[in-house]
Amino acid sequence: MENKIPLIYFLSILTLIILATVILNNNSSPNEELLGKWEEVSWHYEKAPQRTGKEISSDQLTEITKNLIIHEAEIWEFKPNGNAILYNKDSAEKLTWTLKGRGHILKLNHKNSSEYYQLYHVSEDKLVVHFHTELQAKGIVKMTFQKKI
Amino acid sequence: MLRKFNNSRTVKDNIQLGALTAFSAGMVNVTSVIIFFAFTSNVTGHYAILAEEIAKGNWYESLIVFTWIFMFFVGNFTSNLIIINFNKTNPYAAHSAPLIIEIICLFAVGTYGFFHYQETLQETEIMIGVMLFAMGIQNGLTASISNFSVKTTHLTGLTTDLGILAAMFTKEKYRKNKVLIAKKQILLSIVSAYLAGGIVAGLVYLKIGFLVFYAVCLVIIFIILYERYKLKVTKALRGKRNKINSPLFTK
Repeated sequence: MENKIPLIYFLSILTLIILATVILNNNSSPNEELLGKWEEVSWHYEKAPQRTGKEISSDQLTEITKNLIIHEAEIWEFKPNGNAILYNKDSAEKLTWTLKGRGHILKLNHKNSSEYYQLYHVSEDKLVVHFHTELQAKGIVKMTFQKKI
Repeated sequence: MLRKFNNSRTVKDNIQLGALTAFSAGMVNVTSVIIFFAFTSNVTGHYAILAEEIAKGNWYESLIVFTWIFMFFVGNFTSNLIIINFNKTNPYAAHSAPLIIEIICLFAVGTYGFFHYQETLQETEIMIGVMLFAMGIQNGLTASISNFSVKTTHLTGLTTDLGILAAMFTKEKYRKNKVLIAKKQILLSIVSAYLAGGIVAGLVYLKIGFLVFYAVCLVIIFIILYERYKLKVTKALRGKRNKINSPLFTK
């Protein structure tokens, strides 16, 4: 039995490596999934500050995003070189982006400040981003985007 | 602290080993959460995340999280492989070698982070893996040489033990039990040191960034050198005692 141990260990490692290679070849990383233009379609509270409802009015929205980089941005574009552009009705703001953790934290850098957003769901055509707001009352805001072709 | 194995260890040995290694683990964990948004000294949360990612069908993320867990496993495996094979020939070297590997890993993370880190996802994933490997090494070492009474990189079991002890101490007979008192001292020293390490790292990181990993390396180097010093002192005292007890000297 003792002689078989190295073989068993070797085969286990080999199986894991083959499995990892298959997964890597058949799945794209969050970096690649995020690339392209995303259009904002809805804002809701994922965890609302009060029980009264999860809807976010346009006034609340303006207030929540007042001091954020994403203020009034309607389309987010992520480029492969780490640059991003946030478009609103009349202008566009350039910034840089990177992912942290296991690819679930989006870091946006603008001038000298950084903001962090949680990527809750990324697929070919849908992006769901969460972030904590402590304005007025604590809550988690859920932003949903659709891929713009 | 490092040269004794299993049951020959005193409470003081375990407190010293536990507190110092917990301090460094606290530093590593808090720094990794601040920089990388991932825990690197415990894997319970990673198991939960792995299950979540599999359920969501996120296979790339599942693979990354599985690799991190596996790195922690490999760290534990490596340190115990060294201990098992070299403990009889040179216990001090067998127990120091894993710590030296841990220092190399953390030094590499600190140096790469300070000079080259571009904040890409791939770099982040690799550095988290290296840190989990380092913490696995440390946890495997402390658990193994303390007869599984000291685990310093995560506090789930320890908090459980503290809860059990607190309940037992409501009875007088347990409050007077020396073994339980010693256990309480070890556990409290580990918790305090882990917390202190985390707070210190959080504060120091704001000033020196990635160089905080060099500070962690210094703590681990201190453990190795302190043990070396104690070993020399013990040898010198033993030599002196042997000389006094020898027939030649007593005459």
